[in-house]
Amino acid sequence: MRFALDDDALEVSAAVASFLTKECPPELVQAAFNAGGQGPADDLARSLGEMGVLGMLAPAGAGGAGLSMVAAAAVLAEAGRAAAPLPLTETIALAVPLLASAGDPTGILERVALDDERVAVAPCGVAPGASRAGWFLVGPDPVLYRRDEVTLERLDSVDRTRDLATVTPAGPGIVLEGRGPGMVERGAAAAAATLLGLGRGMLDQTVAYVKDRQQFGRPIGSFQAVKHRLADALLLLELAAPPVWAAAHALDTASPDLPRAASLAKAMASDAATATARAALQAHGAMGYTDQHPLHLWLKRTWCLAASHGTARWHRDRIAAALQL
Amino acid sequence: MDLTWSEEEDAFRGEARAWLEANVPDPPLPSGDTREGFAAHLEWERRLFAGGWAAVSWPQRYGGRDATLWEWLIFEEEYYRARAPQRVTQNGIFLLAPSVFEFGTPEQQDRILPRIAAAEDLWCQGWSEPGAGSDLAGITSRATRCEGGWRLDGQKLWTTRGAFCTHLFGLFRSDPAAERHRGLTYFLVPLDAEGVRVRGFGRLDGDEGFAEVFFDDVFVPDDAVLGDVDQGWSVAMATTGSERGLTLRSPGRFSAVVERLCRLYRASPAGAARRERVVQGWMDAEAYRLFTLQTVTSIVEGRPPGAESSLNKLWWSEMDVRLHETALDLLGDAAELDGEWMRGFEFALAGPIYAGTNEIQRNIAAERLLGLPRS
Ligand SMILES: Cc1cc2nc3c(=O)[nH]c(=O)nc-3n(C[C@H](O)[C@H](O)[C@H](O)COP(=O)(O)OP(=O)(O)OC[C@H]3O[C@@H](n4cnc5c(N)ncnc54)[C@H](O)[C@@H]3O)c2cc1C
Repeated sequence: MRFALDDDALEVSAAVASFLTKECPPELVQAAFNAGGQGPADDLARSLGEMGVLGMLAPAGAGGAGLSMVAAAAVLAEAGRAAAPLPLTETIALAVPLLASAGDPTGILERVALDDERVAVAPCGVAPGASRAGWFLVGPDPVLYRRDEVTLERLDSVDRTRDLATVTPAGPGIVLEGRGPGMVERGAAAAAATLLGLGRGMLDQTVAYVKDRQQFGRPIGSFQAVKHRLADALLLLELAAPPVWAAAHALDTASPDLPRAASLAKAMASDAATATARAALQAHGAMGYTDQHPLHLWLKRTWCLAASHGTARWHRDRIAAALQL
Repeated sequence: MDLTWSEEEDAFRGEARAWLEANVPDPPLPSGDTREGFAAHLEWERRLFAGGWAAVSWPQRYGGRDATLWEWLIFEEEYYRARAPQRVTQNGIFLLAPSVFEFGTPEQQDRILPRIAAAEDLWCQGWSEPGAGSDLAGITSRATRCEGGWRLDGQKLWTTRGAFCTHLFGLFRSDPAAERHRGLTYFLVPLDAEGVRVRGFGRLDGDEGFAEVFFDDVFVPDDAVLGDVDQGWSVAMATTGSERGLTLRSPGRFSAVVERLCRLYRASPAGAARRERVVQGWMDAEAYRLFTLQTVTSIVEGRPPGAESSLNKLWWSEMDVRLHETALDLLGDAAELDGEWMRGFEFALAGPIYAGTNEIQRNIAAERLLGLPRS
């Protein structure tokens, strides 16, 4: 028994964290927001490809690093913390491993890992990162389509970095065989990891803000009402973290408890991140209620990810079924 | 990450399960917070000791079986799964003993620990006073040096099972001139010493689980001091750490409540509307179980939790209230009956108060974990 991130997960996530601190500051996220998820976000994607992050779950032979889903979850948590304006949840944890385990039927995996090619993922027919994708993975039992085999209809997400579209297949596509655990579990675990990071990022920013902002002659972070609300956010995030690592580990080990573990992670992380978003906004006062301050980028990403890959309620229903309730 | 148990751990679980199945009293004992119930619980404690299960993680020479922390966790899971009785030796085993291991002289360890394990001495915790609850450093009970020892005066309050115990561990002010947190000394006091008066009284549930303890010129010898004179605060804080951190409420306890809750739900005709709350109860307990695996890993690898244990205490205590609220809701108009769930609910309500109130825990989390300024 050992419940802790292993060294490889710690190393790769620390490398990604320090890269994003430098290369993905809030100004860049805002610029990507203004550019509809393109522009500066494209440079970031290329760099993450060169670092081997996008392909981290592909086998070493196929342009990847053959790392564990636990390591990927740790990386996604850092991507969330920085609000990296890319569909990394889908690229790292869905597109790459699904293609890899299906034997890379169209031979694009290496290019995807380097960001020379993009695959957008639409478990329920809606894909983030749609306008730059050359390929689409559609449906809960995913089928792979070329860009010219689908029609796209742009959707305006509240988070403009999402670059969202409905995807309607118009060709036969390629069914991914032998792809192991499905879209739902992978998506839930990966989105949960990203939400955990988003929550941590919002809490970090809020702690810094309330230490600095003065009212009544003292930092607002010394008021107990503020402190307790942030302590509650910390509590929810810290209790959501172990389920996230456990879900990722359940994917790595093909555990029979995977469906339950993945749903636990997503429901806990969605609830923790959305509660943290509320607390963060409240503690920022009107400063948080403006598009001039970066907090809105984290809030909107949180709402989007909480709603996608199954809402908390949808996952609670799945757990209920697993528990025969 | 490795979430599997070793062969030895599985064997340990099997042994614990078999012993508990053969020995757990059926029907359940009356409440250990009443006089006759306490006596029945003492018998149970002695049976546990005879079976070698009283304090599994202690060294054998003190009455334990040298179990690892992981095995302790397994034992707790099996214990609550088997619906075994509440532990009336809890305060001695989980609150006093860790401090004796850390601060006691070898003589004190040999004298005190085996008698705790064997349930021969029954310890209560004497910290709170009428004027010192959350503000523990505000205690005014005094210890005055005298020939060969100390004289104790003052009053302790909210002493759990004080009326049934034989000994008390507590803090007394030994240097009134020192700053509040200094000048306190940790004493070990037999309750049959001359000048001690104990008055039991009812808790919310009506059981005589509370007591107030009066000290009137009570003599104790020098070897009744645990740790150094005037250093009682740090000795006591080591105990609160272990209390909140892990040992007070292991996950098995709540997983067992959730199992009962799920059964209650399945049997409730009007249950469907509460399905989501029942599921949330399972989720909260499962998250706590995983969180505890993480904590135990940290301890085993030499990174003991510090202020993080405040999060642990906040979580289990508020989860316990929610679990019981959900059960009462499922019971509908039968909820008012003074039955198992109502009793459990009443006890759960104490969780956010004892062991440092949850407001204090939130202060600690905000100041020490988030680094926010003091109020
Ligand atoms: C079932 C039970 C068993 C107990 N067993 C024992 C025992 O065996 N031995 C023992 O010594 N004690 C025991 N206690 C006492 C327990 O330790 C105290 O109740 C606890 O420390 C709180 O003190 P208080 O009750 O005096 O409340 P107070 O300190 O008076 O607090 C009352 C309220 O004010 C709030 N408050 C106080 N200070 C602050 C602050 N700084 N910021 C925000 N809010 C604050 C509290 O959170 C609480 O909500 C037990 C209590 C219970 C309920």
